[in-house]
Order: sequence, then C-alpha cells, then structure tokens
Amino acid sequence: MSYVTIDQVTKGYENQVVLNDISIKLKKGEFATLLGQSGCGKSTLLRSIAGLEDVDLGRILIDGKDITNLSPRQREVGMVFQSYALFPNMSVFDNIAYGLKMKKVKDIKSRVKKMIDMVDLIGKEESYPHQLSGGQQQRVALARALVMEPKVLLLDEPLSALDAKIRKSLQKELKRIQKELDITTIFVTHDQEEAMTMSDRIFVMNKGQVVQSGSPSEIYTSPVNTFVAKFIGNYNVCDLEVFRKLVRSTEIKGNEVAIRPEVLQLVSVGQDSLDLQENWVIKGVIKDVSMIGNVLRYEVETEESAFLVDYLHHRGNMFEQGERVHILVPKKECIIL
Amino acid sequence: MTVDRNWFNGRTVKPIPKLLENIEEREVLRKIKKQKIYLLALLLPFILFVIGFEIAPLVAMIKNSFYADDGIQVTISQYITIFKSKFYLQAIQNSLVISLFSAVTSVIIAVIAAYSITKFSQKVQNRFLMITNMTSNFEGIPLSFSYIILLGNNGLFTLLFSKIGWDLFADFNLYSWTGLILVYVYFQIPLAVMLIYPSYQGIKKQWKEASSLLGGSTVSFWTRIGIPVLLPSIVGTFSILFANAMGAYATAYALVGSNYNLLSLQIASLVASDVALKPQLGSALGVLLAATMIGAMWFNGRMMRRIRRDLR
Amino acid sequence: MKSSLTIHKVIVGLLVIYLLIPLVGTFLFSIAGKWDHTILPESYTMKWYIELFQDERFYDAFQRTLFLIVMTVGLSVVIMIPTIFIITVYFSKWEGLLQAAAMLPYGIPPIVGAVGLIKIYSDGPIQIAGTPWILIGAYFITILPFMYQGIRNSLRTVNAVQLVNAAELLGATKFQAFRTVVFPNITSGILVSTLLSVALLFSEFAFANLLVGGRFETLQIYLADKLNSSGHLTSAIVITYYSVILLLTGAVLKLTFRNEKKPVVSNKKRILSFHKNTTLEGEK
Repeated sequence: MSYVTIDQVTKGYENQVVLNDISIKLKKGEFATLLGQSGCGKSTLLRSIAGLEDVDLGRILIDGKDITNLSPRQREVGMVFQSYALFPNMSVFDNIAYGLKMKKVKDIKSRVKKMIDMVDLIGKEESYPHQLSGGQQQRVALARALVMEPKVLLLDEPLSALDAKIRKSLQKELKRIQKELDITTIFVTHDQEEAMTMSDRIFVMNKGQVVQSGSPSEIYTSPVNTFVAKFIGNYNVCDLEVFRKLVRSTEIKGNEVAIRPEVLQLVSVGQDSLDLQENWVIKGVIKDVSMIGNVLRYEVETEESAFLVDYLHHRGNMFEQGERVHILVPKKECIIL
Repeated sequence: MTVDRNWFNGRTVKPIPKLLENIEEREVLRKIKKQKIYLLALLLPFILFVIGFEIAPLVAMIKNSFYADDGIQVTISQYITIFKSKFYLQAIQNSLVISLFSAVTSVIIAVIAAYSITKFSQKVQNRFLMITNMTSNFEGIPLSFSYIILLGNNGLFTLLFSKIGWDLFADFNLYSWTGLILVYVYFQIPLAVMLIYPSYQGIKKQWKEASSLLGGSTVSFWTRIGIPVLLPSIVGTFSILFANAMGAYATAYALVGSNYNLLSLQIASLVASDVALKPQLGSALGVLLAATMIGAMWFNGRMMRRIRRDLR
Repeated sequence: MKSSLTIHKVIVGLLVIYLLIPLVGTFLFSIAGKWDHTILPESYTMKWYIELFQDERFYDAFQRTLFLIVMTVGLSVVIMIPTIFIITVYFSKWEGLLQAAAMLPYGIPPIVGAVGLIKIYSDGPIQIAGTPWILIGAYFITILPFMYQGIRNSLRTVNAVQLVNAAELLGATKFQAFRTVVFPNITSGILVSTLLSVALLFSEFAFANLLVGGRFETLQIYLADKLNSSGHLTSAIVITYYSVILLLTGAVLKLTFRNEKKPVVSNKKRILSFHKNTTLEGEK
C-alpha cells in the first residue's frame, strides 16, 4: 500500500505542459528526491503536492486520502522553502510555535522545546531570523514544519542557498532527523551529488516527465537514456557507429554507448597480456591530466572522440601528457542506450 | 537490480494537444470559485475611486474638447481655434520655452553637482542628500513668495545690490518669463540631483581602473564610457523635469498671477474662474497639455528601458 | 589630490548656499522688525508669529487642511492595503493593471485633472464640486502613487506571498496569515508612505484652488490670499508651514535610514523611475 500516490498528474500553464502525466508511488518513511534542471517541473510538482498550485488532471493521495482538491492548510503536509520564509516579526520560538497556535494545540511549550533540541538550536529561542546564520535559519524552518507532525515533509531546494561545508553537515542532519522521525519526505534539488547522498529513491525529471526512477546506485549504474547518463556522473557517451569503429567490432546494437570513467583502465602501449575476452581495446593519446579532489582524471584522445578515465589517486601520476596508451573497455560495463 | 528500460522507453504519453484541451476546461472551472467573487467585492471601493476621480475626468476632458462652445455640437473647432489664435499659441510656446530652459539648466547643474557630491565620504554625501530632499519640498506658493521678497521690486537683494551698485539686477524683472525660469530652476535642481545621483553609483570604480590600465585618460574615460552610461539617466531626468515644469501651476500663479500667458494658467482661467467662459476650449488646451506630458513620460520610459538592457 | 577636492567643495558649497538662501531669507524676514537696506535685519521681533497665532482665520485654514488630510490618508490606508494585498496574493495577473492605475496620477498634473473633475461634478448627478468632498476624492488619487509604491514595496521586501504560503501550510487562513505575518512587517513601510502623503497634501494648492477656491479655505489658499498683505506676516506663515513639512520628511528619512543600509535618496526617486523595476541604488 503506497503512502503517497501521485496519479497521472498533469498541469498546463499558458499553452505549455508543465507536468506531463506524472505517476509516482512512495512508501511510508521513504526519502524521495525529485532531481532535474531548472524548468523541468520538479518545484511545480512539489508545490502541487503542497496545494500551492492547482493540477489540471490527475489525483494526489496521502495515506489513502484524496487531497487533490483540499486547500494547503487541510493537507497535513509540511514544507521547507528555499528562502526559508521565516516570519521576520517573530522569534525562533514563535516561528516554530506558529502552526501549533493555529491548531490551538494545548502543549505548545514542550513540543517546541523538543523540536529546538532536535535541530540543535538550544539557546536561540528568543533570537530573531535576521540574527541567525543561513544554516540556523534553515533549521528553524525545518523545526517549524516538523513540529506539526505532518504526514509528508516537502523540501524545495532547502540547501542551495548555503555554502558547501554547511550544506554537507545539514544534509547529514536532515537525513538523521528524517530517519529518526520516520517521516515520508520529498526533496527537490538540481544537485545530483546531493540527491545521491540523501535519497532512498531518486526521480529524475526532464520537461515535466519522470525520465527514470530508482535507487541512487541503480540510476548511477544503469541510466536508461542519454539524458540521464549525461546528467548523472561523468559518463562517457559515445555514438554507436563511432564506438564500433573504435573497437573494431559489430557485436553491440543500440543507439549509444555509455561507460563510466572509473571502469575504464589504461595500459601502456606494449603490454601484451590483455584480456581480450572481457575487454575491448581502444588506442589513444593522453591529452590532459587533472586532479579533482582525490580522483585523477585522464582525458584520452582517440581516433574519433575523447574519453574520460578516472583513477583514485593512489601513487601519483601513472601516465604523462602526450603518452600513447590503450584504453581497456570492459564489455560488461558498457551500457547500451 | 535490473531496470526495466523497455518500460521507460516504450511508454506512451498522451499527445499534447488533447492534454491542453482538457486543461483548458479545468482552468475555467477553477476560476469561477466562490471565494474569489467575495474578494472582488472588496476591491470595489478602489475601483470606484479610480474610475470616479482618475479615469472619468480624463475621459470627460477629452470628450468635452470635441464640443463647440454651445456644448452640443460635436466638432474640432476648439483645436482649430487654438492653432489659429496667436494668444494661445504664445501660451503654448511660453510654457514650452520656460519648461525647456529650466529643465536643461537644472539638469546641467545637477550633473555637475551630483558628481561633486560623490567625491565626499558616505556620511557627508548623506547629509547633502538630506538637504536636497528637504529643499525639494519647498515649491509652489511659498517658494514664489520667497523669491518675491528677495528679488522682487522691493526685494531684499534688489535693494541691496542697487545700493552696492550692481546694475545687473536693476533691469531684472522677477515677474516675467525669466523670473519664472529662475524660480523653476530652484525647485527642479534638488529633484534632478536626486534622480541623477544614483547613476553615478552605477559607474563602477573598476571601469575607471580598467580604462586606465588599457591606456585611457580621464577625459577619454568620461567621453567614451562615463557619459554614454549616464546618458539615458540624464535624458530621462530631463524629460521628467520638463513634464513637471509644464504642469506647474501654483508657483506660476503666485509669481505672475492668474492672467499671465502660460498654458496651465490659461486653462485655469477657462475652466475654474468665477466667470467660467469656455470649458470646452479649456478642455482642448488640457488635452494638449496632457499629450505633451504623456509624451515626455513615455520618452523617459524608453530611456529607462535602455538602462535595463545595459544592466542585463 | 587635495586641490581637486577643493573645487568639489566649492561647487557643492555654492549649491547648498543657493538652495538655503531663500529659506534663510524668509526666516529672517519672519523675525525681522525693521529691515530696509541692510544685509541683516536691524531689529528682531516675534510679533509676526504672535499675530499669526492669534489669527482665527489661520487656525480655521489649518483645521480644514488637517481635516482633508486625515480623511484622505485614512481612507487611502483602509482601502489600499486590502486592495494591494488581494491583488498580489489572489489576482497576481492584474498587478500590471493595478500598477498602471496607481502610477497614472503622477503623469497628470492637477490642472489637467481639474478640468475633467469640474465638468463631471458640477453638472451631473453627483454635485460635489465646490465642496471638500471632491477635494478628498482628488487628493485620494494624488497620493495614490506614493501609497501604492510604499505598500507594494513593503510586501515585496518581506516576500509576502511566500510568507502567506508558509503560514497556510501551517494551518492559517489567508486572512489570518495577513494579520499575523504580513501586516506586522509592513507597518513601517505604510508609515513612511503616510507621512510622505501628509507632507504632500499640506503643500497642495492647485486642486484646492481650482476645485473649491475660497469656499473651503485650506492653508495654502490662505497663504496665497495673504501674499499681498504684509510680507513679514506671510513669511511667518511660510516658515510655520515649512517647519511642519520638515518634521514630516525628517521622520520619513529617519525611518527609511533605519530600515536600509545604503543611503536612501528618497521615495520620490523610486516613484519617478517607476518605468524601470530594477534600480541603480539601494532598493532590494
């Protein structure tokens, strides 16, 4: 039984289709990410779930209840906005307590205190939003949404306004809190690394449609088409004809071939103990070497196109610029698109 | 762990035209929500005020300008009268000349003064801006009065200078079009400074540095980069000042009296004096005045859009 | 470097003197006893102010002006805040129309507006020409651009739409949201527009003279009437009136300085450059 069901949701705006027949099913407690570039519809879909935008066709159900025509305040969802949307005239405590006051809940003080503790903002209860850092503001926004114990938590690119270090630590905290509360979460981002780190399941979106859905490793190792392959990671994507020419074989059929840079191997010209059963060989020349974090990335120029080959930085440079090499392409790792 | 690629690739999506049809239906239904009709009622007071005191008067004026003096016959005779009358053409010319002169003078002074202001520390700059802000409110009857007691026939400075022997001011007549220009300039300068000053913030210091690194002198910087960048703002400010001056009534009324041959004063005497002679003619003049002002504002808008294009 | 600053000092100094002389001169005139040919008055006295503050007609005029201002600004606040909020949040498609209607008055000088107003309200079914009511209507439109800009910018600065969305998701109705999280944050913006409008209406002469004239003598009409009498007394009126203006605009500057970090030129600047939505100075 799915907890959140998005059933053939479609939305148009000024003669354009913004959400095109989207269907998604989420389990309770799942952390799902909508991943895509700007304009793909991910934020619109999120806002539709929140009730801040209408849908033209389709239904949205949460915990069995059809909420498609309910107003935002009736849906029991919580949302964290990209720009936090904290109420400037209220302290941290009052911001978090706001929803509880609206609902006329009895035990406001203890519930708010518990939430402040959970997001690690003890001591900041009386501060005002403008006195807080970006990361602190985001945590208030999170606490404000969670204290209501919503059925679903929606996050609209909540971390994109923060700098890298804070972002990483907040990602961890967010995940920890989500697991602790076991709350179904839908996260929107354009950062594929962020999506990979945090999600149970990723929904890659493009032009109003879900192009692929699956676990992070599924999406990473088995992209379904060129778009996903190029969006996730640094796949080498090669036209089929070109590839056939390079490996001098007509074994494979399809449109394109995608290979991850870390599955390729480089060997110096002259080494003859190459396993030609398992691998194809492409001749090339090292064009460029760059160090990206702890990865050594080689750009290898072949007869037709360039390939990226990644190595973990063990011992330092193994190949020099201009050196002629053979690229070993494991047949199993070639993904046909 | 195999992904069913075939499902993704083989899935068909509803064709878009059909989709849009269905969506359109829903959109219409959405709009007729009860709640929104109640809200429209709340907007009613505003709409009534706008129609009653903003739109209707304009429409009435335009309509009335096409009637003859009897108020019944529809004709363009009022406009013909204006363009044949030496008197009214003079009125239009006077207004145009005075507005043009005062606007140009004010803009030039403001461009120089605003630049000088930018040379000081931020605190001092703020003080100056405060002064311009406060003096920009000194206009209309009070301003004319001040000038009368200073430069009028028995004005302070007039008497003072004649005593000292400065003949310049002996021939000066405050109650003429030169006097009007002088007073107009006074209230236009603060406005011009406030409008032009911010554009200097737009001239980034780095531009000057880049220009000099590439071998340019101060003069060449200003002629090739500085002034072209400022130009839209300058021209826009000019058109605002011009429109402002064309519509000025109180200042002129106090300085030269209600009979002086200025467009705004003449309109007043035709529609609002105790002997309301020719409201239709007044309406026609009003239409002409409004047209010049709208023209100036439109021009300002175009200049401002030029700035935005640059900023993009 | 020093020499170049001198010339700027001279220019700005001249400008300041030029701007302040009429004010200073009028002020001196208002406290001068005998002042015929000398640079400074020969004697000083407060008798002109005393005479002014004993003039019943002055108080009546002041009262009438105050009445018009309170009515107009009060009406404007009560009508404009809901109107702008409703259009911003519910009917955002009509924002362009609202803006056009709100900014139009700035392009129509009172003399032009008066022509049509007199025509409509002297003959037709609603005959309010010559009464203060037509003046209130005209004044409402006069301050419309300032009230609109002030309120709209305040709503934008606090990102009112998003605050309302957030509040709704937490269980508030749109009205509750407005009351609790939007209105408290726009009060200073409203205050600034109000003060500016008050200052504007104190200085308004054209509509008053053209639409009602002597039948409802406002402060400015009283002043115009006194122009031909004693110059000293008139100076006292001018200085009194201008002090009120200074107080109001001073309060505005103080409030806006407090809210923004960069130097604020003035709200007039923002209104006059309404054609461009981005600005070159400190608006966020």
